[in-house]
Amino acid sequence: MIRRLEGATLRVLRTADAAFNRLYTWRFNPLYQSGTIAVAMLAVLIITGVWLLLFYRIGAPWASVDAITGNLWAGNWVRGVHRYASDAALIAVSVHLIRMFAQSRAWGPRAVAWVSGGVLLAVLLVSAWTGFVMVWDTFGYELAVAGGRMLDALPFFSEPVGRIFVGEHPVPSAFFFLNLFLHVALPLGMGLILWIHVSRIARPTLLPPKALLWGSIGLLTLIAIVWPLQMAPEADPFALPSTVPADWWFGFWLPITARVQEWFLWVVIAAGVIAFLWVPRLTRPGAGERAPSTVDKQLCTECNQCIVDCPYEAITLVERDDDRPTLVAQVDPTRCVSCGICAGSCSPMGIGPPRRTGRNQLETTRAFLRTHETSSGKVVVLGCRYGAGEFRDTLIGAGAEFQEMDCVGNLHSSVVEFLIRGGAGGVLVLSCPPRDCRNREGPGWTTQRLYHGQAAELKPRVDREYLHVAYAGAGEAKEALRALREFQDHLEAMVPLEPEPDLEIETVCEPVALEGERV
Amino acid sequence: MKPTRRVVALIVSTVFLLGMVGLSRVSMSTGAGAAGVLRLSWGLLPERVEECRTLSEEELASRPAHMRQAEVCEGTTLPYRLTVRIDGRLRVDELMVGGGARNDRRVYVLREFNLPPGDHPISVSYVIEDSTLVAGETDGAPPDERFAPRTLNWSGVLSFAPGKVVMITFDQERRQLRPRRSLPQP
Repeated sequence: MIRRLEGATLRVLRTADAAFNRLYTWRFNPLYQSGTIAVAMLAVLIITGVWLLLFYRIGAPWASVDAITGNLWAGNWVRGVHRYASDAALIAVSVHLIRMFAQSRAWGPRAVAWVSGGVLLAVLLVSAWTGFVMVWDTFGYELAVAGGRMLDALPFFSEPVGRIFVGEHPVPSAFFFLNLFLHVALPLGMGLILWIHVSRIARPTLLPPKALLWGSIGLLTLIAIVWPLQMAPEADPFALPSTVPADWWFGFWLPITARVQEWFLWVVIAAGVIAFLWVPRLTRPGAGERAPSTVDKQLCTECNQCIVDCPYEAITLVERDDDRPTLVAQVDPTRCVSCGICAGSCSPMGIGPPRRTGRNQLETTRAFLRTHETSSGKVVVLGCRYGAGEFRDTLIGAGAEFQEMDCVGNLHSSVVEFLIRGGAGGVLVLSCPPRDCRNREGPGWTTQRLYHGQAAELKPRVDREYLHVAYAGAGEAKEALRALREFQDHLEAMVPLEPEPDLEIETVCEPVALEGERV
Repeated sequence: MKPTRRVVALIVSTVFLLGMVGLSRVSMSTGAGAAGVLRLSWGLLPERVEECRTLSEEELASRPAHMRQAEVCEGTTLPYRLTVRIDGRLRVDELMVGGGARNDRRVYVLREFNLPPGDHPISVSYVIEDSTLVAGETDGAPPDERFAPRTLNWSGVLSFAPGKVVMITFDQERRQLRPRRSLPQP
């Protein structure tokens, strides 16, 4: 069932991704940048929040916010941006969460990011609650009363929390002080949780591209200026308006509390939390699937490249248990997500997940050359199974051969050389867009290896005119087809390469004697 | 990115953000408004009844030195019965005990009734329930002012306006129930 839900979510996501790519291009697709947009909005919230804090008074909450709202030059629009940034942060976090679920990126070592992301979402909701209550207008009052009722349904408090708001006594300043403290402390705590959230990633991207960052902040500011915030009436426990101006993003649960018992809501919340925490286990691959990378110690040369490339800091150098004087790479299976990027980084093909090492890829390619019509000069598309793999038949129908990769980040450059020298008309590497790589850095490293000499680099003897790298997500068959046709047209003008007879690329390096060592 | 594409992207982004902002400014129905509300709210300590006895010489001698207290008391707190009549109809008849594991914390009363606008005869009573007290004793003052009065009654006709709350609460100075229509003045 979870797989079905995952698949259904992924189908919706692919369609949305493709539409947004057409509109924004993959570089600025906000769906790809949902995580970084959330962080950017958190930064906006902190900056605008510090400014607003200067004018807020816990002794007169509504009056002080009213004064801020009345100041069109330095108050109203700042408050508007603060509020709208919180809405945008909630949307961005939700999209990010859905994306990670749909792409099955919650299991194994990624469970830390999944759980901490859930905590971030919960803290964001609580923090927003404190923010709206701070204003102490009619919406803040509704939130406070509903929140009090929810808390009173728990058997933790010696005195009912909700009584603070019923009007028996004025709401004490201590409450507003505590509320303000939480509103400041929780976002700061989010910084710590964010650090945990990205702690297992080698090179976390925290902010979106500048154009998207400043564009979204600019638009929010513009809207806050053009459509200024209005102040709702002050909270009064003795006056219950029939409607209140509400922020539905954070007040969505209020109508529910009015209709069902609080204990039932707690049961639903508890069930939701358990289900959320269970997702990493439910989406875990079956036994033998996605096994962590292993190292062939005989082949490892301590070059360090796999350690640099690994997006999850899962590889370290350790002492050897043989008599060779070098260190050897070791994979930490508790951090390895089996992305296979190390397979493409290792020149001697000594590391990678089972059945996806460079040597395995060459064996697959050798079989592929035997069974496919590459000698007729067809383009071979090396496509990511999560992207181009979804429309492989379309590409084959357009005259290409298709060899599927788990992720193009796995691609060992020798495969490209093998295909071109083996008779392929050309090699088109069809990668998922870089910000949409399930393994974070696959497309980037592949481009570096094929064009910029990063190990394991494509040898200079391979003519790059017969190679092209293009990006296409799973919902972008048209774009992939266009890239294929353009490449085919380009190859038309090129001299076809003759397949090399008895082509062999060594899959195992010849051991080289170190100084003073006998081989 | 082509300029036309940039403009389209900007327009779509603006529309999306306007939608987001719009949803953050939409009115929400509270379910209140047409009706008036009667709210009962107070929190009072339940009366504590103790039975004390003096320990005999033998009992004292059998206890460790640090526990040799001449008089020992065992206490319990008493429940209270809350009854509410609105327009002559019994709406609440409930026995209430103190909070906490030993029921020695305050009894919190918080009830709300939606009533049509207009005048309504209301009768509220909050009376101690103790089988050992005979008639008349329930009207007596508790042994300590920290505790709730043994009997609290309020009855009268209250006028309710749409969306307005009338609260019956405990007046600490007069030690009786009183209706209120606004926050107490500091």
